[in-house]
Amino acid sequence: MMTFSKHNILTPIAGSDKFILLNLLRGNADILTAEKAREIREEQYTDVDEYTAKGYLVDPEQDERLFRQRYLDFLDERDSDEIQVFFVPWYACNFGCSYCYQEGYSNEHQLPTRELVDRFFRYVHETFAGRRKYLTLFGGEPLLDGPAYRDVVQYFLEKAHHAGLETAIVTNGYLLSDYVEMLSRHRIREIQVTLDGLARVHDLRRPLKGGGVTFDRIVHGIDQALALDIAINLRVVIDRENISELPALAAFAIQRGWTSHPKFKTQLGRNYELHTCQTDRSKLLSRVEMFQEIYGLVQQHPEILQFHKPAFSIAKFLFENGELPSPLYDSCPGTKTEWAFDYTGRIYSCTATVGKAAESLGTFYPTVQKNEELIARWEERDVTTISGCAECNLRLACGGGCASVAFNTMGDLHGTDCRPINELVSMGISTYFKEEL
Amino acid sequence: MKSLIKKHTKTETAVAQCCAKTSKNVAGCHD
Repeated sequence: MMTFSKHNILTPIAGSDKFILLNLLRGNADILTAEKAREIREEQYTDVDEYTAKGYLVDPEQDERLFRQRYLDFLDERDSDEIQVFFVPWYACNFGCSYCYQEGYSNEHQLPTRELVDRFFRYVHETFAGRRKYLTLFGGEPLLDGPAYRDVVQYFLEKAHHAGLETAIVTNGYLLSDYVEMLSRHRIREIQVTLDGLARVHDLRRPLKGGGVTFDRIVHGIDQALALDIAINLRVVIDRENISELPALAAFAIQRGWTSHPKFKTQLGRNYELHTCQTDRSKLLSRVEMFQEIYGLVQQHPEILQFHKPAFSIAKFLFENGELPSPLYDSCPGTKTEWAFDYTGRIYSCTATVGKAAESLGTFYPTVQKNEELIARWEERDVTTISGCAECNLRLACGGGCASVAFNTMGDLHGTDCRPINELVSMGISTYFKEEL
Repeated sequence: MKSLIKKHTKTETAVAQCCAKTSKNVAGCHD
């Protein structure tokens, strides 16, 4: 007997009387009238042949077989995917951000020795042999002032060069202009820098430790990096305090010529409930709220899209590629395509856990020791093992979310961290497919 | 029904990771 596939996603399109029906397993996405959507909801189908041809109406057993087959495809693809390997040389930082999630981390101001850096590279070489990979310097703040800090960064970049690996750097950007000459001589994949708005708002949120403005120096560093053709990934950390800055920041980036530089890209990050930070959670936006705000701002200021095109779940991908992405059986890269290491010699799953000693997965220095049982728990986590995902029709768009957040909120690594897929798709189709509506 | 699928021959499969695989964020999988 044919039934409505349990992977169908049917949701109204924001600002329209139409609906979107899509199925990631079958790769189909269609706009429906309200009347057709009502028929589907009432299971009174009048277009049975078309629904069947497109895989919206299915034989449940066949659907289950396809689900398993595509899962194997997903695992195969991931096994050949690139691994991002983070290294934290210290947790020290020159900024005193109002929302720092690492505030409570131990910070002994101990620098990594060359021996430790050598052992990190040996571990990466041996453990991830045969895998495509790149490195990322993370912190704390990796670009700090002083010869001792510079020497570590220089040594790391030379080791990366000899290993044939590119390095990305996540920096607050304050000292980027001091480092840019050194970086220009190495294989830098990209530099992630954060601006939280124009000067007044940014400087309130991201001042120097002990006070002091930072906006102008960061902007200068971005200019210099782009002039040397070093890729910049500009991040904006968003909450209620600064979301209204987005149009002005977009206009600033456009006027400065950043958005027309081929090596400039952006990301909008939600200020969120990671660990113990954000004691005042009232300023945080939920995922839905953040995207609703962005959706509203884009309607009023479409030039924002020159600065940043929000993903809105699968919507941007569908718009740009003319097809749906492959089903997402797992949205958490931790221990699969992401690992993190720090100057204490510990190994972690990802940037969300790095520095939380209790969540370490082992050590690479002074000896290699791994908590195989815990690593297996991380590796096993996907929508086929998260019980909370089992009956969810959104799971192949959501992927189960962040394991670290699930652990923090539910006390279970295999808990869910649900994404508001219906709402995101609704806003995304409205944003990117205006002509089709 | 009006299909939004323009490309029916998949030449390259892409996985929509949590951080938009097509433009993977350098800082991993932040929210």
